[in-house]
Formats: sequence, structure tokens, C-alpha cells
Amino acid sequence: MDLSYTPKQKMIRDTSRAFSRDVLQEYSTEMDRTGSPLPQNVMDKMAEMNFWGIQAPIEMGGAGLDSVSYSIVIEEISRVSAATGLAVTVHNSVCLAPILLFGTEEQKERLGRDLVTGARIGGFTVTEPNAGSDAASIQTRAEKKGGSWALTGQKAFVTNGGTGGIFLVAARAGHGGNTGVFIVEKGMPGFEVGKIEDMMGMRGNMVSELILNDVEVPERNLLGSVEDGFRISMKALDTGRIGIASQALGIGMAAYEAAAEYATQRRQFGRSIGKFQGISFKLAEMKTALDASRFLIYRAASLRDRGLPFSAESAMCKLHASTAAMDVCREALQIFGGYGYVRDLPVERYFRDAKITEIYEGTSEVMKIIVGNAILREFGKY
Amino acid sequence: MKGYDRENSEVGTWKGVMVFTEVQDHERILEGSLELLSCGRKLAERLGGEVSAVLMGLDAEQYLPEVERFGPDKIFCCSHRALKHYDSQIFPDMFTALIREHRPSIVLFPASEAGSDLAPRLAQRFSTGLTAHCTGLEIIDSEEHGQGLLLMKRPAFSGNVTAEIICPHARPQMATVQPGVFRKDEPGAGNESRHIKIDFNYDLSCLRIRSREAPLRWDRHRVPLEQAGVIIAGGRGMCSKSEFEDLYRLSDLVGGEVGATRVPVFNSWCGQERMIGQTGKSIRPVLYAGFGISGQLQHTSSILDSEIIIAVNIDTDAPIFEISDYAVYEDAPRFIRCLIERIEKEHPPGT
Amino acid sequence: MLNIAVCVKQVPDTGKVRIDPADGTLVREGAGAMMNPDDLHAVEAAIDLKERFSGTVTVFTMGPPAAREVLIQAMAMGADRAVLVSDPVFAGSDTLVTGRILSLAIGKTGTFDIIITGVESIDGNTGSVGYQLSEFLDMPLLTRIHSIEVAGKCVLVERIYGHEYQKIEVDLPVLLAVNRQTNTHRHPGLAAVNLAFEKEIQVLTMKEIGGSADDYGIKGSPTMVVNYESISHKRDRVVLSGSLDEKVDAFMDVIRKHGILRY
Repeated sequence: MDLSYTPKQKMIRDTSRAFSRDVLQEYSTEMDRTGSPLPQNVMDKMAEMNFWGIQAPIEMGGAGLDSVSYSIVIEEISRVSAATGLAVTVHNSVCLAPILLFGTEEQKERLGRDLVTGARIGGFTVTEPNAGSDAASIQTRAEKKGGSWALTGQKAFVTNGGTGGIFLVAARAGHGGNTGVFIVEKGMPGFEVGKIEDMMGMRGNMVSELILNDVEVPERNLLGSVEDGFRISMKALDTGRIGIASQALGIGMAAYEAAAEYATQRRQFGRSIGKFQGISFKLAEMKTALDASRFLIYRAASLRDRGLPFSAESAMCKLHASTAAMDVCREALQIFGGYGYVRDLPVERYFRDAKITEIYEGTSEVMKIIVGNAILREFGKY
Repeated sequence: MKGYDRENSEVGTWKGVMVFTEVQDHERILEGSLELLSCGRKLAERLGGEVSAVLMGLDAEQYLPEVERFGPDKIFCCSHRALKHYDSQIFPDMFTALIREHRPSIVLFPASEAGSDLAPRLAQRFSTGLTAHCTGLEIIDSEEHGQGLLLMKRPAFSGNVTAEIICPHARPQMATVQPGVFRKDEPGAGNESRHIKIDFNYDLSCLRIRSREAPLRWDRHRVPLEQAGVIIAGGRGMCSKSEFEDLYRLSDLVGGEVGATRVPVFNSWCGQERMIGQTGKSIRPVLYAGFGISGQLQHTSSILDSEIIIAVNIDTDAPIFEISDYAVYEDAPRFIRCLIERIEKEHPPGT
Repeated sequence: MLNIAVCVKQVPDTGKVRIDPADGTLVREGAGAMMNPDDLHAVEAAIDLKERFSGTVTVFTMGPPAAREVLIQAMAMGADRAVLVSDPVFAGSDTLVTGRILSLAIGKTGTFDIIITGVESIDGNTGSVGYQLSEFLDMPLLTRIHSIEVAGKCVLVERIYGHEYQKIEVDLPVLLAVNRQTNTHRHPGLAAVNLAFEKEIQVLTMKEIGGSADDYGIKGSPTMVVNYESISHKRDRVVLSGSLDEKVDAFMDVIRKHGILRY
């Protein structure tokens, strides 16, 4: 078991880090302050970096990378701009990836290419105003009408809602408990982007409501079959959680490194504060939590790449990384003291950005349910 | 292509110190060259041998009196229109001939643009060693490598380390030296140098670089703070908008860009784009001068990559002094007014 | 069709290099490895010329086998061919010998119209290799470049030389030395990185470039390092004191010394 990065993964990290620092960094503060999205020219530069198709096949215009490399890219982007890291990972892991995995050749050709090149940004939505963790209670309905489906309902907290062109939408299909995943495209009549959320963190990502008013979705836009919807959604989230965990890791690393540097420079009582155990112990705990997150992520990623089941491992890495990110950000802010509280420094932004990682793509509580169930299955009859 | 002649170098037959005495802006001898003449004198006293100055330029004779006052034994002087500007073909060729004929043990160059072009070319032609950007020179005797060797010290690894270098077998030993490393001596009466005139008979048709247009006086264009080589920054201690604006005059005089901490920005003394601080810009200039800046963390953490930091502040306890190379305890606006006046006196606008 | 060569160097992260207190030698382990920053701009200049004027870019590096990585990085940025000039005998070469080795390797590989290097490396900091290559290859070297155009058999360069902005014309072949003042470099895309690792790298050893062990490495180098000392980075806080006039004088001395104001 070789836990070191390959030379290729190192270069992936270096180029992602350099790009994030040289191109994305200058926008990160502004985006957070005003809540405005990245300008189109930056989105285009990200397309040139293949950020919109990190694991898609090279023949399609993607980068064809493994899942550990994927995690590295999301981590590096998120260090600099968590809102951008979020946009990239949701697009890649819960919109593009399910289409590549479950889509027909026709769907991959027609929709996959636009996603891989960043011509259209992707999103994925199950959550509704009245259905969060209780995903099975969604009320958006898809009625069969001739050769297509008519979708009606309302979706909440859709990442990339305001900027996306292609959405995977979970809807109750027909009668019975079937859920289908429908590919809804912006521009389809009856499809509207609702209110853009004004959030505590991840500002600059156009998280919004989506409103579907009898939207006509052709049969060829159904992903898989109507019986598949639930399974596809769950599998999508397994992959998505590796990305969210990587995002949380990136935020945590940024906070930790800022705190460690500050601790060696800030002097009180005649010495750098890092020399006090109260501070160095905090740093030790932070580093341990982040390293553990990192390797839990790589373990899940490695299982995915080998085609092995990874639901529990993915839930664990998301659970751990998001908890660690919140802990690290809180302690980092504490180490900065008053300077951590003012908006001149990015520390308070890391703190605000980190919180949501414990909530979206499955709350930490749901992660524990997933892992708990897996344990009970393993040890006896459930 | 043969390597340097390790065995047959007859090091003992190479003697004396030769100094590239560069003419600056057709006006005067480069200060760094004068410093090297003084340094050369000391090296020659230790080693034996003569100090010779190499002077090439347009109407080069006019500089002879200045050079003489720093006491070289000989001055090789060549005067021609084609020597008005440094040229990468002419100067090395002429200098090569001088080295071949006079065989100095040591040749010193200021680490100017011209010196940094000339020295490596000569080193290549003689298959000898060059140590560039030296911060120290002395003569040492080494049991292992020989007597009377030039020990050359220079920064390496981006200045994190000093390397000490010798060139035991090849000759001449060459070094380019940063300005200000050596003090120049008090100028003497200066009438003891032998002047040796060198004829100019260079075939100018073989020059490969042709000018397409007459060169323009380069008016420095504005660069973003992150690329600026000199930054003149102001903070709370500048007191008012009109006093802050003196910074622009100063920065024009020294070829820099104006930066600010958050106080001037929040007070609308200048625009947001001037702010240097954790959510502003990070900078890497050669010189950062902070006026009326106390040195809060948000600002100082972004300036640490500056090569030289000078701070001017009336408060002797200002944290910025802890990270400064030079400290001036003075009222910043007052200091700046006096500084601007002094610079304008020495370099009247328009020259 | 331009034939362009670029010389790059793999360097440690100079902030992390340490001196072994026991014997004053350099400890490079743990210092990481990267492409010399100026060389990133050299690769960018080469790729940019290739895109505008059509041609091929061959990237060279002299170094141990690990230096392959900077060649891969250059190919990920768009270089077409890569040559690793590597032989244990080359280790410890100073700038003169490095220039000699590179010029021989370039000569053995092809005929080039434009050769581009970085101005200075962050570990050696000599900035001399470009000039010495210029002598070995007998090609003019242009520095301080603002813009480059190719017109037929010459290059048109705009550059800042001293206090002048010059527009000059030079016949090919020509050597260019660039750094961050010349361009902003691109970042290799993820797919390009993935593909670059599959590309072939040609290796030249002493056998291919010629000469004998005495011409290279420490033996072949006229200069030798006899000691390293680490430098404390603490800034000195030298107080410029006296009357206001005296302080202003001292201030002006400091900035003159650092080349900010002319004497």
C-alpha cells in the first residue's frame, strides 16, 4: 500500500494550485463580499484547464484523471475559493458523472460534451422546501404525456442553480413509489430559476430555487429508467461526497496554514505564540484531523476507481472531513484572535464557508445513518 | 570543445588586477567601478602586481582625471563613437585582446547590465571561472588549493545561503560585484597613473544587432503593484489626502508605484487598487518604503518578500520597525517634503 | 516553420534548502523540486512563438533522471519534444561547463532558429549561462524583452535597455533570455498533464555529446564552492539618525546603493 502521490498527481496538484493562486485568487474576496459569480472569462480559463471534465474521457475533451487526482483538484480550488470548488465538484461529480455512468451513447454525446467543455454548467437536485434528509418524500411529479414527461414542482437550494444549463432533477414518476432522474435543460418552457439564495458562505455560487411548471421533458432526457432514479441518485451522491469532502479539506487546509504561519509570526509575552502549548496543541490537533480526512478521502477514491462498493467509505470521508473543517476553522479563528474576526483577513470567510459542508449532499447525521446501517449489515441481520 | 587547462595554467604568470571602468549614461564613471578600483588596490597590495583600469567610451579621455584619483597604476583608454553604448560584440572582443596581452590574475566588473553581459562572455572565451554578484572578496592561502587565491562570496538559493568560491587553476579569476559592497577610497590627488591609449580598429559591419528605430527615452509605464520594483507606501501617519498625495511625487522621482494600508483607502485618500494587505495585493519589490505606517499584521504579512524595507514613522515602537532593514524615526509628511526637495535639487525635472 | 529550443532547469524550493550544521554542506532533501520560475516564462515564450508563427518546440534540461519532470511539465505546456541531458559525470558542473554541455546537446539534436532560456535560476542565481551559451553557440543574446515578432529570417524585438526603449532587428539564429517581465505564463491543463506523462523523452549522455569525464562535472569546472554559510533573514533595523537633513541624506544613500536613484 503506497500512500505517496504519483509524479502525475503531484503535477496535477502543482498546476491546480498555481492556477487557483494566479487566476482565481483575485476574485475570491470580491465574490464573497458581493455574492456575484465568477466572470465568464474566468469560467472559460477554467474550461481550458479541463476543470469541467476532470474525469471525463480525453476523447470527449476531458482530462481522464483518476479519483485521487480529482480530489486534489477540488481541494486546491477550494483552498482559494470554496464557492468555485463547489461549482466545479457539483458539476463534475453529480451531474456529468451520472450521465457518463448511466447515460445512453446519445445522451453522452449530446449533453456530455457541453458539460465537459464547460459550455453548459451542470447541477443536480433532489431537495425540496419540504424534503431535505427525507429524500423519499419529494413531491415534484413527472406525468407521462405522449412521448414525453411533464414535470411540475419546486426544488430548493440547488447549487449552480443560477448559472447551470443542465440539471439532473429527481421527480416522482407516474404512480407508485418510482423516482426518475430527468435531465432538465435551461430554456425548456416552464423551467424557471427562482430566488437566488443570500447565504452565510459559499457566496458567489448561485444557489437557487428551481421552479418547474409543466416542463415538457422528452423521453430521451430520462436518465436510465423510472425504476432507476433512486439508485442513480444514491450512486451520484456517493461520488459527490468524495468531492464535498475534498472541498472541506481544502477549506480546512487554508485555515490551518494561515493559523500556523500566524502562530510563528505573532509575538506576545516576548515570544511567538506558537511556542505556547495552548496554541501548538491546537495546531497539532488541526493537522491530525486534516491528514485523517485526506486519507479517508483517498481510500474512498481508490475503491471507486477499482469499481468496488464505496458508499460507507464515502459517507465516512465526508462526515470526517466536514467535521474537521469546522473544527479547524473555529480553532484557526481563535488563534488569530481579533484579527480572525475582521473581514480584512480571509479566516472568517473560511469559517463561514466550512459550515455547509456538514449539511449538503447529506447531513452529517445522514452520513452516520449510512455508516451505521452498513455496520449492522456486516455484523448481523438488519 | 576542450575544457579549461587545468594542468598547464601557469597560474604564476598571471599578475595584477584589471577593473572594468564603466561609463554611465555618458556622464560619469559608474560608482561601482570606482568602488572596485579601491578594492582592486587592496587586493593588489596583498598579492603584488598592478591595478589597471579599462576605460572605453565616446570621448573617454574626459573621464581620465576621475579614474586617476582612485589610483590605478595603468589606465587603458579607448575612445570611439561606437563605444558610446555597451555592445555585446565590441566590448568583449576588445577586452579579450587586453586580457590576452596583459594577463591579469584577477578581473573585476561591476554587476551592472554591461558588466553582467561582458564578464560571462570573457569567462567563456578564456574557459575560466566567473563568480557573479559577489558580496565579498578576499585573498586566501589554501593548503589544498594554493596560495594567494581570490575567495569570492556570493548569495545563492535566492539569498538564503552564502557560497564561498575559488577558481584555483584557471585564469583570470573573474568576479562581478554588487554596487555598494566595497567602499570607495577617498579620492587622491591622482596623477600617478600611466595612460595607455588603445586604438579602435573594429570592423563594425559584422555587428548583428541593428536598430530599427531611434530608441525612445523610456518613460516608465505604470505597472500593477504586484510587479512594481519600487513601492512607496503610505498609512495613517500621512494625516491627510493632500499629504498622502506627496507620495505620488516621490514615487515618480524614484520610479516606483504608490501603495497604501487600509486607512488611506477607507478615508478615500486613494483608491482601493492601492491597498496592500491580506485582502489587497501581495508584493515583491526591490525596495519598499513605508511612510506613516505602523505595521499592522494585515499589511506587513504582504510585504515580507520585499528585498529592502525602509520605514519612516514618528512612533519608535511601531511594529513595522521589527521587520525593517532601515528605520527612520521622523514625522513622515515632513520627511517626505524634505526628501522630495533634495531629490529634485539633485535631479532637476527634465534632465 | 521555426525550430525553437528551450533550456529549462529543475531547482529546489530555495526557501526550504538547509545547511547541514555538521559539515556546511547543502541539504536538498525535503526541499521539493520545481521548474525554475524564469524558465516557465521561457517555455511560454517558445509556445507563444510556435502558436503565432508555426514551428516546433524542443525542450532541453541538464540534470539527474528526476529532472524528467520539468520536461514533462514543458510538454504539458505545449512543447513537442523533450531531451534530458544526463550523465553522472555532469554532476557538480559550474556555469561554464553547463553552458558547454547544453551547447553540445543542442548541436547534436538539431539546427535551431531560436533558443530561449530563463534569465536566472533561483538556486545558482548567476544569470551567466545565457551569455556563455551565446559565446559557445556564437549567437547574439537578447534580454529584457518586451515583445518578439518573427519576420522572415529575422526577429524584431522590443526591449528596455538601460533608460531606452529599443526596437531592434537581429538575423536568425538568435538566443533570447526571458523572465516575468516578458510574459505571463500559461498553466498546463489537466488533460495536457495526463497526456504529457505518456510522451517519450530522449536521453543524451556523455557518450552522445562527446568529450571525456575530465571536461565535465567538478573536475571540468574552473570554479569550486569551498563553503556554504546560512544567512539569518532577520532584518537589521539600522536606524538612520541625526537631524532631518542627515536622515534624508542617509535615506538617499540607501536607495542609491540599491540602484533606485542614479548617482
